[in-house]
Amino acid sequence: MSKFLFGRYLPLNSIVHRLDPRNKLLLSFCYIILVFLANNWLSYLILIAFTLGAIRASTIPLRIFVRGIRPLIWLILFTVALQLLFSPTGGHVYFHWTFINVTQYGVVNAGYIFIRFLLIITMSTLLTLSTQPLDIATGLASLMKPLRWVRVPVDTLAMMLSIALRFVPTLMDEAQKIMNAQRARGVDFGEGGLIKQAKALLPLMVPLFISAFNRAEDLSIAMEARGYQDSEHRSQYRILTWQRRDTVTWLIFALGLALILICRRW
Amino acid sequence: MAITFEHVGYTYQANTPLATPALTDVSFTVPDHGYLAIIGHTGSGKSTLIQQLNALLKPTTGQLTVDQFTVTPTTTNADLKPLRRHVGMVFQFPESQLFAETIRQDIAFGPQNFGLDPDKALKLADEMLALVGLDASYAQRSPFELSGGQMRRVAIAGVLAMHPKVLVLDEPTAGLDPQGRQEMMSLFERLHREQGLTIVLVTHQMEDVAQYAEQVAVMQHGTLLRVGTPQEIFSDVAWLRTADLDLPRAAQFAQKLAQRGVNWPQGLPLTADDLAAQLAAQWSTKGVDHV
Amino acid sequence: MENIIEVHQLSYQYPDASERPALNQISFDVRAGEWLAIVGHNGSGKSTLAKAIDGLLPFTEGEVIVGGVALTADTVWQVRHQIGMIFQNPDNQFVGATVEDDVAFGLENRQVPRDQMIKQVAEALQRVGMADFAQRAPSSLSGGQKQRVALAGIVAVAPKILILDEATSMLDPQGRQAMLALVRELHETQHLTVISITHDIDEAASANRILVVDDGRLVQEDSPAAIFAQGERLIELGLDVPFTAKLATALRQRGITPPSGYQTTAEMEEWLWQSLSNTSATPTKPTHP
Repeated sequence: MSKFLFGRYLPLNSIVHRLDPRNKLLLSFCYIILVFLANNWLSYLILIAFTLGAIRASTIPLRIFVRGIRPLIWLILFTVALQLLFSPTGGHVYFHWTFINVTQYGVVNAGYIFIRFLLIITMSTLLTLSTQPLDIATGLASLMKPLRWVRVPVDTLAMMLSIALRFVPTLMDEAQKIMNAQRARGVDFGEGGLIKQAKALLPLMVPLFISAFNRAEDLSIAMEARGYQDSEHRSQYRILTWQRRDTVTWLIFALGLALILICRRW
Repeated sequence: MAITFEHVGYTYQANTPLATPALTDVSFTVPDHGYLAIIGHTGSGKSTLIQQLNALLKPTTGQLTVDQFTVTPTTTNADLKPLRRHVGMVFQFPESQLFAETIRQDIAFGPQNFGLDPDKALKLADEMLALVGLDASYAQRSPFELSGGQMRRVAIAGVLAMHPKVLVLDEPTAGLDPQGRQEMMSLFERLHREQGLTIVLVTHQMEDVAQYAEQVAVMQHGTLLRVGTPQEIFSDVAWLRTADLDLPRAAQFAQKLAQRGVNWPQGLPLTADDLAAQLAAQWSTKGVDHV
Repeated sequence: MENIIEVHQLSYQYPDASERPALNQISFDVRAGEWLAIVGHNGSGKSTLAKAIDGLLPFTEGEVIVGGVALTADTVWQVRHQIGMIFQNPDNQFVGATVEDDVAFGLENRQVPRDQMIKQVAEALQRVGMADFAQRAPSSLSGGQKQRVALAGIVAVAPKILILDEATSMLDPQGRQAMLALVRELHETQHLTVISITHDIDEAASANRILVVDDGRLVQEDSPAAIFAQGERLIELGLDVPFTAKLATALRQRGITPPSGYQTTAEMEEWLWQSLSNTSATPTKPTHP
């Protein structure tokens, strides 16, 4: 299961795990702004220190983050290389050939981009590792509530998201089952040329879609039988509570922001 | 011997921190043309066990042979296709594997994958349709227009079309009504008797075990507790209770009569017929007129 | 006893089916506190009937009155709030991401305040023996456990009527027995009216009355004993043949004639024991007291 996106939650009981998911979502978002505000080595150093501190507080081993970044490393290196080779002129020119320009400005920028990537990926990994998908969904729905005023069906969207998450394992089991049945009928999944592989998908996808539709129909009948009319006129069993520790995180954030602003001027 | 398991063990996600053993040291044999029932609670390893039979899962320790095929932990996928054809698998709710536009095409799918040319495969499909008790008018219809029970027959026809020598059935009657269950079980019985198919049946229905199986394997927590004839397994009532398994109805009833002092000299009867026969024998030995 | 459900001349035709109607002029009453079983083979229309009573299908003809309320488009929620339904597939009716969320679903729909909800969810889970599983995700539960959670969801909203639409047919024997025991207990202690649509002979035997549906029509209505007395013919009605009936047939084939009519296992056992002892010259001694 560990290789799947939704299985990536790591159930520990740290202070980071216990934070309000709304707060974690907001913090992650503002953190990204912070990352783009930073513009010199010192400010990035401060951000790295804060990020490591957050990881420490989550009690999640660092190597898990390293493992999480590994699949993305080529994307990062590609972007860094682009920045390095094609940046506009500025500062000392180290290397020049037709349209390729390696300048002092380019090297520094490439370094910054590399760090930005690492920081943002690490922090979003921390978010998913420390927060259950369901809580992320509930948190998102709660944060989107103001959109009600512009007639966005926030509660319905939240219900859809929650049901989708609930059925991910069910449909994964189903897919496994159908794959087994078709393998027993002589289908080779993931073998042969591209066309052969695409053809092998049909006996998997058709039954899977049909099953999903049947389930959806059953589910809608069951929901109606249990009194579900619309998403607006319902009370909430699962609610989120803002604790003191959530407020404390913002004090820490404010400290970080202040330090970075000072560094920018410096 | 049609099927031989030698110290088969299987661990899910072996060599990872998430490793979970599902089978431990399972050994048994099923003779040619045998009929084995596998019983045990949900999660006892029955499904893992049957998936070894056509190497959807390969043993992590030990080995097994199915007729001329041997599967070991190092068997490669390339060697498995003939085995997959040899062992037909009917999974739980097999109707969920249907996908083709017509019933005929769906039944012909397996044989075509194993290299039969399309014309022959379609002809074979028509034969199989008749075998599972659906008339020729169904051939060109979409499988998705059928009732649940009919869809299941089509799925089974699709497995039989590969002409397997071993037929593995994972709770084949689940969700059917009693009439559908009866018809389905007699179909398998007929295949076993007339075509000599070796049958491996996973079931919770002790009545079916008593009526059809020649051998019973009892699974618990991934180990094989016992294997024997239905008579041997169901006669040890005290042991069955410790394994938390039910007796067939007739045996439960006979057991109650035994507590009142009735003897079963030919062994605990397992079916209503068996019970009636033994009762009739006692009736006549006592030389009394029948009521 | 007053009637809690009255069905008059109910007919329904599926929009996509050109053939015969799924329900054809069905009429019957259900008394408050009664356990009614509806049997019939697959495709007979019995599940359609259950859905029609709950207003889940817009029936074309006839009348359904639940708890004195005539079912119309305007009253459908009044009717549904009196009925709890459990369906066949345990997975496809589990809405919540965890057990407690799922039990709370019906309460949320009724806009029950949160404090009260927490109490009711906990009590309902206690009632069905699933309190230890409150935080679990459905994928970690067995089919039987999921159906017990579904039952908790109904206990929490305390309807007057429980409809089981083949709710035990996908469960293993242990799951089925546990579920049936729970429903029996609720039926007795809560004065709950139960309608169970089933193929299971034990479930049908729990009923006070059995309706037999075939081809969209109500073909028979009687006590379990009278229905079961039909012996081998029961398989055509979508029920299994009771063990005692199978035994009686097997005995008759061997020239032994048991009493006519349906016998419970205890009655059959008693009769056989009596006959064997009376015919025996030296009565066999009980091995157990």
